[in-house]
Amino acid sequence: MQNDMPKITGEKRQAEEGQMEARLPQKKYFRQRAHANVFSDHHLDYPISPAHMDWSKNFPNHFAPKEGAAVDGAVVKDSGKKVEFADIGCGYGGLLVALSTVFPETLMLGMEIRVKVEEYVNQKILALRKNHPGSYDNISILRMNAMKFLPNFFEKHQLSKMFFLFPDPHFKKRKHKARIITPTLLSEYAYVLRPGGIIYTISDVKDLHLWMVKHLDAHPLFVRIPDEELADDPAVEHVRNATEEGQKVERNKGDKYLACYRRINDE
Amino acid sequence: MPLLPFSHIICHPTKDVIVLSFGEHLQAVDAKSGLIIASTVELEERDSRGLQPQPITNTPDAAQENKACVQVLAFSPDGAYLATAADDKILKIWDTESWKCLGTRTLVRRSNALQFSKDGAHVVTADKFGDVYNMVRDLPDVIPIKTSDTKITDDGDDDDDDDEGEQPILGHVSMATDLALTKDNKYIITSDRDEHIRVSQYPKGHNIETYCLGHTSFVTKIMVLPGTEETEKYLLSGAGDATIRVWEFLKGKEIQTFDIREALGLPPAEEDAEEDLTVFSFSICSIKKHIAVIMEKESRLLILQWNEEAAKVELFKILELEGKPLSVEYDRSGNLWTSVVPEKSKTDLVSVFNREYMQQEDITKYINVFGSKTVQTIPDLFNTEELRKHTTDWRELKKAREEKEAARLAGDPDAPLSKKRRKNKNSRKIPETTPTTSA
Repeated sequence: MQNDMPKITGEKRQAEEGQMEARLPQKKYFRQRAHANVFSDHHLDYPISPAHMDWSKNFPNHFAPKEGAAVDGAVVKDSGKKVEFADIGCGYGGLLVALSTVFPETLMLGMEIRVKVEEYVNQKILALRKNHPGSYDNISILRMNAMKFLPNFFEKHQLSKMFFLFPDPHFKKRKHKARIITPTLLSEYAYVLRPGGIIYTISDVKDLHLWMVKHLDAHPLFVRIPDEELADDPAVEHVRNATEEGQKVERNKGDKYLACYRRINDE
Repeated sequence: MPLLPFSHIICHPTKDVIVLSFGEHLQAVDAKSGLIIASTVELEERDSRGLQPQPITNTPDAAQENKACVQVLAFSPDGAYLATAADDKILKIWDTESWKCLGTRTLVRRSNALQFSKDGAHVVTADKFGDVYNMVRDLPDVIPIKTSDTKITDDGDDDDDDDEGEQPILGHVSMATDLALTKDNKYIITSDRDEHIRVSQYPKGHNIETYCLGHTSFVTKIMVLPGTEETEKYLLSGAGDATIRVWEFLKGKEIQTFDIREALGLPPAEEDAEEDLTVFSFSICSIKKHIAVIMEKESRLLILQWNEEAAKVELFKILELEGKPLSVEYDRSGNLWTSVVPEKSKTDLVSVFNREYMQQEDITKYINVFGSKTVQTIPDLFNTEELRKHTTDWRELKKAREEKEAARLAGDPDAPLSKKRRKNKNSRKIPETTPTTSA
C-alpha cells in the first residue's frame, strides 16, 4: 500500500498555505479479525429506502444534505450523480483509492461490515481529500451488511460495476450459505446492476473461485466475459493488484483467479 | 384444565368449510352449522368411532405435543387440497373430500408461509432462513428434499448440502415471514424480518421486479387485495411497527400508511421503544372489502374498509374480543371467524361475527365445547419475539421467559421477568427473595 502514500512536496505544502499535511491513518491500529457473522443483527444504520438515503456525508461535493444546513464548503445542490460502483467487502479500500482517479467522474461506494476497517478507510479517504483537493471526492465507505441491505441503498439497475475481491472463503460446508456469492444473492445483485453491468470476482482460494464460477454460470442473468475482452478493461488491473489481499497474494507468489460476468436480461 | 386454543383458522375457497388448527391437530368444521366434519384427533386417536363429539383428554405433556404444532395452512385455489406445515418441518397435502393425507415431505427448514400456485400445480413455501421453494403439488410420498437427520446447531444453521435436492427459486438473507402470489400467477411477493417486501417474477424468482420499502420493523403479513383487476394491483402489509400499509406493489410505491395506534386512540410509540404494537394477522372480505386486523396481545380487533375511489383503507369499526387474538378469517358468506387465547374463566376459543358484526354464538357453541382438547397449560402461541431486533438477543429473552414460566409452574407466580422487562415495569413489585436466573 506504500504506493498509495502521496508524496509530500514543498510546493504542495505552500499551496496549502501552511496547512499540515493530513496524516494517513495507520492500518496497524485498525486491525480486526477477518470474519464477521453476516446473519446476526449488527447495529447497522441503513435507510428505509434509497430515497431516504442522505449521501451528503459520504459525498459532500456531490450531494446536498437532505435536512438541515449544509456544512461549510459542502455543495448546496446535488450534482445529479448516483453511486455506480459498489465494492462489496471492500476491506482496507485499496481498490476504491486506485479506481478513484481512473474513473474520476464516477461515484463509488465501498461496503464493509467490520467497524474498525470502515473507520480506517474513512479516515484514509478524508486525509486523501485534504491532501489532494478536488480528488477522491468520488469514493466513500459505509459500514454495512451488503447481503441484507443493498436494496435499501440502491435503486433497481443503479449500479454499473460490482466488485467482490478476495471474499471470505467460508471453507466449511455448513458455512457456504454465508458466502457472498450464492444463487439467491446473485438475483439481488442482478436487481441493483443494470443490464450490461459487470460483476468482478477474484480469489486466491481455488475452491471459492470455482464455487463463484459455478453459481454465476448457472444464473440466468449473468454471462461470463471472456478473458480477451477483459484485457481492455481498465478496472481489471486494479482488481488484481490494488487491494491489500491482492498484494499479499502477490508477495506470497500465490495464484489469483479472476472471473467477470456481465449482467444480461432474461430471455 | 384449559382447552388448547386454535392457532389458525382458514376458510375453504369454494365450500362452506372452515379448518381450524390447534397444536398438531386439524379440525374441519361446517361453516354454517359449526359441526365438526373431520378431525385429525378423530382420525388418529379415536379411530372410526364416528363423530361422537366428546372432549378429548388423553394428552401427553405439552412440550412433546408442540413439536409438531401446525404453523401454516393453505387451500389450493380449487379447494381440492389443503397443505399444512408444522414445527417438525413436515409438509402434508390433504385431500379435502376424504380428508386423507395424500403425501408428506420433509422441508429443509421450518416453513413460515405456505401457498398453492394459482394453477394449483405447485406448493410454495418460504422458510425461516429466507429461502422460497416451489414444489410440485403431487408430492412423492417418500423422497424428501433432504433428510432431516443432520444435527441442527444452536444458531439454526442446518448442515445442508448445496448440490443436492430442490433449489430455492429465491431467497432473503433474513427470516422470510410471509408470501403472496398474484392471481395471474406471474408474481410472487415475499416479506422478511428486515422490513423488506420483495416482488419477483413467478416462478422465475431470480427476476426481481421491485421492493416495497417503508416498514420500519419486521413485516408479518402481506396480501394482495382480492376482487377485481383494479384492486389486485394493491398489496396490503402489516408489520411490527403498528402500521398497515397499502402498496401499488408492481411499482414498489407506498400509497398509504395506516397508523393503528392512532386508530385505537393510543399515544405514538416512544422513541427508541423496542416493542411496538405488532400486526399479528389480517383477513380480507372480498364481498364487503373489509379488512379485519388483529394485533399481538391486543384484544381489540380493527375492521378497516377499503375505499375504492380514494384507494385507501379507513377505520370502520373496533370489535372487542374475549382474549388475545390468534387468528382471524372471513368465510365465504362474509362471517368473521376469530380465535383467541381466552382470558381467565372464559372458555370461548372461537367467536363468529356476522356481516353486521353481531356475534353468532349458535355457530361456535359446538366448537367451543368439543372442538379442542384440554392441556395442562397453554403454551406461548405468539411467535414474534424472534422477529424483533432486540438490543438483547431474543434467545436470552426467550430463555428468561421460559425460566419465569417454569418458576410460575413451580408455584411462584411473582417470579421476575427478564431484567429488561422488569425495567419496563416499574410498578411491579419484585419479591425480596429473587429466585436466581442465569444472566
